[in-house]
Amino acid sequence: MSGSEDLGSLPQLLADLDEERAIVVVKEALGAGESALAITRAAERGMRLVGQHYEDGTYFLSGLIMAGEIFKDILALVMPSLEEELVGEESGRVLVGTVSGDIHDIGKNILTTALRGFGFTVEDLGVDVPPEVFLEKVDSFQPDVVGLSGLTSASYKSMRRTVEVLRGSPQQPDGLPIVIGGATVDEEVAAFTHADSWTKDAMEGIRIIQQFVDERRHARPLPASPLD
Amino acid sequence: MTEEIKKLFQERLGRYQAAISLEPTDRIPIAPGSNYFAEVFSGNTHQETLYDPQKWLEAEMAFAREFPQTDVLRDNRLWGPSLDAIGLQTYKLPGKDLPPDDQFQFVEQEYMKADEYDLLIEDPVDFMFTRWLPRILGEYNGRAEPRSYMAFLKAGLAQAQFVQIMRNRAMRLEEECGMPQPMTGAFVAPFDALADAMRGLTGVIMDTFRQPDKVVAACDRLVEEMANFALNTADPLKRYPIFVPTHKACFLSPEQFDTFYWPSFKRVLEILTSAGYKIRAYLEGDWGPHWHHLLELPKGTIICDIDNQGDIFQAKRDIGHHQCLAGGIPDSQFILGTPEDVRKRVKELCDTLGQGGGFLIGGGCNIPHTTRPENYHAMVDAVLEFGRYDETVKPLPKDTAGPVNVKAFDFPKKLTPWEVKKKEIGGSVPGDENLIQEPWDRLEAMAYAWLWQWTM
Repeated sequence: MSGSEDLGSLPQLLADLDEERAIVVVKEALGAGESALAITRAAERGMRLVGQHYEDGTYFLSGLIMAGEIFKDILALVMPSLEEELVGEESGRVLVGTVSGDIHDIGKNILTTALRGFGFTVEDLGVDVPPEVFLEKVDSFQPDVVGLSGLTSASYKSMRRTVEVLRGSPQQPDGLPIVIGGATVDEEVAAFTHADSWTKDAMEGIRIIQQFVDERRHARPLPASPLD
Repeated sequence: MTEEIKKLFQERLGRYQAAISLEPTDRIPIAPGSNYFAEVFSGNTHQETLYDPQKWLEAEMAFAREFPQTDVLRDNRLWGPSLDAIGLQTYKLPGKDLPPDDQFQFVEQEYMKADEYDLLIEDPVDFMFTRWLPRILGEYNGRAEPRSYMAFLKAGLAQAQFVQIMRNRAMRLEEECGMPQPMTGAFVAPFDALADAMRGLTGVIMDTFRQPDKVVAACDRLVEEMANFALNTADPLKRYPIFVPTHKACFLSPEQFDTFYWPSFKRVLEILTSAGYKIRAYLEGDWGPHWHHLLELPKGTIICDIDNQGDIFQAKRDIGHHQCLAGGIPDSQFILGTPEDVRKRVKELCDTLGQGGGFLIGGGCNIPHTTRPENYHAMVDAVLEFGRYDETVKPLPKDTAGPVNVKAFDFPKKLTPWEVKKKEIGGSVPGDENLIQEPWDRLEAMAYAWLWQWTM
C-alpha cells in the first residue's frame, strides 16, 4: 500500500477511536514523506466525523476525550513539520481560559484540542485566570475571539468581571467577541455576564467561534468551515 | 427536646421518608440534599463554614428558624483542619488555597499511574500506603520519618474531633430545631473512586480503551471497599439515606456505562439496600441515557436527584413511578431569576413531578450558594400553595432501628483483626477477652474506613 492510501484510512481510524492503528498510519505517512499538513487535514476530517457522532448522540464526552488524546498524539508527531508548513494559513486566533475561582477544564481542553485540529491558533491560559491576565494576553496575542470557560455557578461573577475588564480597556479592539462556555451556562448567564454568545457544548462552541472569526476576517479568503 | 420540637422532627422525617418510599404524605417535602445557600445565609465566608464548626452550626440553625418549612438540612461536609493535618492535595480550600469567599474545589490529576492497576487489584491497602497516599497526602511521603508518622497521628485525632463535630451538629439540629438530616454516610461508585481521585477522567477514559479488563477488575475489587465505607459512616438507626454523588457517569456512552460503571455500582447499591438502607444518589450531569437502570433496584429505595442538565420531566416518565425524584429548579433561576419565575416553575413541577408523590423539590443536586433569598422564599411559598396533597396524612418516621445485615463480605473490614493479634500474643489473654477485642476491632474498622475517605 502506498503512503497516501494509508493516509486515506486515517479519518475513519480516528473516528473509530482506533488509537494504535491511527498512530501507525501517521508514522508510516511521515516516513513516506507525506506533508504534515496533509496528515493534519486527514486527522481533522476524522475529528469532524467524531464531532458528527457526538452531535447525533452516538458518542459521548468520553468519545471526544479519547479522540482529543489521539489527535494530540498525532499533532505531537507532526508538529515540527507542521509549524513550517502552516505559516499564514491559520483559521483564526482564539484565546481561551477558565475564569478566576474555577479550576475545571475538561470542556475547555476538548475545545482547545478540536480548535487546533481545525487550524485555529489557540492560546490556552489554563485555569483560575484573573481578568487582568486575559486583558494582558488579548493585547499581546491579538485573538479574533475570546472564550471564557467555567463550570461552577460561582464562575458567573468572574465571567462578568472578565467581560467588564476586557470591554473597559481602551486598547481593546472594538467588538472583540467573547463567548462563555460551561455545563451550567445558559441564556440567563450570558445576559448576566454580557457575553456575546454562550454554549454548553464544545462542538457548538467551535461553530460559534468560526462564525465570529468569519465576520471579523470576511475580507480574507477563508478555509472551508470545519463543520460544513 | 420539647414535645413540640419532637413532633416537628417526626413530622419532617415522616414526610421525607414517605416521599422516598413513594408513599402518601401531606405535601411535597422541601428536602434538598446539599443546601449551600444555608451555609452562607448568616454571612459566613466559605472559609468560616469549613474551619469554624460553631459558625457553621449557627448559620444552619438561623436558616432553620428563617425557613421552618424546610424539611431536612445539610450543607457542608468537610472540616478544614482534618484535611490540613495530612496535607490533602486533592482539595483546594477557601482561605488557605483560594480566597476566603470561594467555594472549595477538587484537584483532579493522575494520582494513580496507568501501570498500577494490578497493585490496586491484588492488595488495595498496600497500594494505598506505598503508591497512592504518598501522592495525595502532602504530610505523608511513604517513608519511615517522624513527620510521616505524625501525619497519621494527627489525622486520627482530627478524625475523632470531626466525628464529634458532626454528631454534635446533628444532635443540636434535631433537639433544638426539630431538623432531620437529608443523608448520613457516603460512598462513590467504584468507577468514580478510580476516576476521581486515582486515574482522573482523561486517564480512566484512556484506560477504558487501552486496558478495559483492568478497569472492570478494579471496579469489581472496589465494590466491597465502597460498601464497607458507606456502612461505616451511615446512620446506625437507618433513619437517613446514604449519600452517593455520581461524577463520571454523564461522560460515558450507554455502552461504556453498562460495561464499566453500572455493574459494580449496582452491586454496592444492592449490598446497602439489603442491609436496610435507602440511598440518595446525585445523578450529576445528564443521566438520561442511564437512569433506566434504577428500575433494577427495589421500588422506593433510591432517591434520584436530577441535575440541571437532566430532563426531570423525562425522568418522571421513565422512572418516577419506581424511585423518588428530587430537584427541578435550575441553578440559574435560583441565582438570577425572579420570585415570579420560581413560582411558575414550582407550580409546573408540582403539577407534573408532584403527581402521585415521590418528589422532593429543590435545585439540581443543590441549592446554590448565591441563591437570592427572595427566590428561596418564593420556592417555599409556591410549594405550600401548589404542593399539598392531603393534610390529614401525617406519616410517622419508620421503625428502622435494628441490626445492619451484611451478607456480601465480612463487615466491617479490618487490616489486623483481633483474631490475628491474639495469635501474635500467644493465642489467649488471662482476663475478659471481650473488653479487649471490642475496642481493638472497632478502632481497626475506623482506621480501615479512614483510608478510603480520600477517594471522595
